[in-house]
Amino acid sequence: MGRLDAGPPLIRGEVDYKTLSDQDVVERARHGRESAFRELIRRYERPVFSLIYRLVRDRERAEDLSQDTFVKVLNALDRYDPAYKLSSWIFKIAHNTALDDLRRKHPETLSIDGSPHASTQDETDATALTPASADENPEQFASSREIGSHIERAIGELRVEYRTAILLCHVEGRPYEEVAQIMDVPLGTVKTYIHRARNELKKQLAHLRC
Amino acid sequence: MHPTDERLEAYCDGSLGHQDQSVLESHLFQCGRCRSEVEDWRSLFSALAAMPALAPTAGFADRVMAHVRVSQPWYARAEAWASRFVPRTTGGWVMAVLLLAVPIIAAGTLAVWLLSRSYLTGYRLWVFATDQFAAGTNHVAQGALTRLLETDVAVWLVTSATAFMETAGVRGVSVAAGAAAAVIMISVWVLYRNLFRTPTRGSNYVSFTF
Repeated sequence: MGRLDAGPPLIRGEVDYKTLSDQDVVERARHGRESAFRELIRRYERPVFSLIYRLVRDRERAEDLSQDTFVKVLNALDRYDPAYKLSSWIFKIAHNTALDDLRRKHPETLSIDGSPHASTQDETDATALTPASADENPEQFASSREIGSHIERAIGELRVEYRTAILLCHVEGRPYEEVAQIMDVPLGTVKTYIHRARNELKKQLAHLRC
Repeated sequence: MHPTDERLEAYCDGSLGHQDQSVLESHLFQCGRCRSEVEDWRSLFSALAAMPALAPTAGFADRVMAHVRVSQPWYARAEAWASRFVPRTTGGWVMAVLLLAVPIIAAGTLAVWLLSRSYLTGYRLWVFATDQFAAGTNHVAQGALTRLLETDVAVWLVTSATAFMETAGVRGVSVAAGAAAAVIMISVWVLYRNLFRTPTRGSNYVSFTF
């Protein structure tokens, strides 16, 4: 069999997964085809790892958390409801896995979301914790070959909620409604997060250009 | 009057209405300050769009699959087993056809020769074959059953069962039969779960599930 696109020719009887939708691949995985499981990993390993890495900012932890995410997803395929987008479900599990890890790593008094006693936005921002990598200071983080751009550093300094929203919207290209589903917050809250994140990032990048 | 920052953001985001867009663009034509703001927003969006998708280390899929339960339904396993014998090349198909054709041709030639004999008819052949098969099957089955019932274990079982029925009465026999049926059903279920499920990869021990 000859094909114009890149890749080895199919062996007779093999399925070309590239032409199948996510739902079709899930169906084949539910029938016990290991190749379907691997196709799901192949489709989502980069987006999931990118999101988690940029949230926790530690490669080793991000690999472990990404692995946990996929194990949870693939072992729960029987419970997946095809009425919802597979990508939303996977990102939701990835997001929750990263958040649980961040909360475990920083259990002290400061909440990631800011003090529950804060009454204004300024007080909330002042008491919120923006977890940074325990292994790297900002200079080391910025000088790393893989993540070295100003935008990456600026995103790393955002609050976790803003970071998640901006990554899902701009880097993964998810619509606002899907981001709201993934983060389990109202649509208006997502728009607020994205607006504030953009403003902070714009200020940081503008400051660098001065 | 200058447009608000939110309006400029919406313009760069592409979420401004067509009419509002035209009004804004005519303002931008005249206002350098707002043009500069728009450039800042566009720089930010470009930087976000250019952020790369990061990849986990090689072997990620294998590490995930080591912890995933791939349970195949019986028909999927039967299909996978049968597909091993399906030829995948043209040469393989030629060999398969030849291997099947040889016995079919031989049997067909024999049948034609037999039926060409005047003293043989199809009906007589059929009766002869079924009589021989039935006689052979009966002989083998009777012999096996007789040998089985003459063993010490069988004799002990029959003797014990008879003594139990004489002492326990109808009620006792019913309870024993119910218990035996329950044990048999549980045993079949445990065997099914453990013999016909694909085990989790990486398990170094046998774990029975219920």
